[in-house]
Amino acid sequence: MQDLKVLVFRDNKLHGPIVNLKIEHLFPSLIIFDISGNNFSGFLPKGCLKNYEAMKNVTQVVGDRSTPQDTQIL
Amino acid sequence: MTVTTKGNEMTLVKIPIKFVSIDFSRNKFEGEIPNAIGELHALIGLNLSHNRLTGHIPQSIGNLTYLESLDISSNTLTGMIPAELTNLNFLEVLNLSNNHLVGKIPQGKQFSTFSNDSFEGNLGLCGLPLSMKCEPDQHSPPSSNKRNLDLDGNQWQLDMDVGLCLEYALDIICF
Repeated sequence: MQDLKVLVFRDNKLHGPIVNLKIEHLFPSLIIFDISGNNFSGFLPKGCLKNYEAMKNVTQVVGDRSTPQDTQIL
Repeated sequence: MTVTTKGNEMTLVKIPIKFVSIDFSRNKFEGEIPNAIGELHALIGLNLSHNRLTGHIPQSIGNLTYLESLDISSNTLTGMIPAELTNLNFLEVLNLSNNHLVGKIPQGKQFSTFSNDSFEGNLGLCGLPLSMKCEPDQHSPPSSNKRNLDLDGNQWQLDMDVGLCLEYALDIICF
């Protein structure tokens, strides 16, 4: 899952808590995480948030907003 | 791929590399919003609406300087709105409606651009843009950045103070 950038499970009937897996650097490339419209419960996955390295890295992901990098696509 | 951003559903044929977003809306998540959310500095969209979240809005959301859309509506969040949120200069859509937030809505900067819709359904909120006026003892939440205001910030603070004085003066004249 090192290169996974987009994870969308929206509008399904998934349920149960999202456990904080003790795996370091899980989804380090993820930039879109959409699990809306399900029946997930429990606490927000605090531990997982810390693993989304790409979402932390402004220079890598956002780039200089005034340059042509802005239009770069996946 | 279909995504929802800034309250609108849209279909992306290609995904811009800068499109960094988390959408946990319309689930049954409970508990507090983790402070760690403030570490995801590249986020431009954050939607935690329609859950069962409790506790305060973390000040750390004020660190998400690229955020363009923040929707944490329809939860049971309590406490005051952190003044740090006014620093989110790219924030275009803010939805804090239908929670249990209280106190004076932070004023100025980006918050000048939001309407009633952003705050409605919080019976304890007061101040513009809501018509509910604040009692004299209801203050804005303290901002940890206040000591670091630059010249423009000081000027803005001064303008706000002058504005408040005028408002009070008008109140006195009217009554």
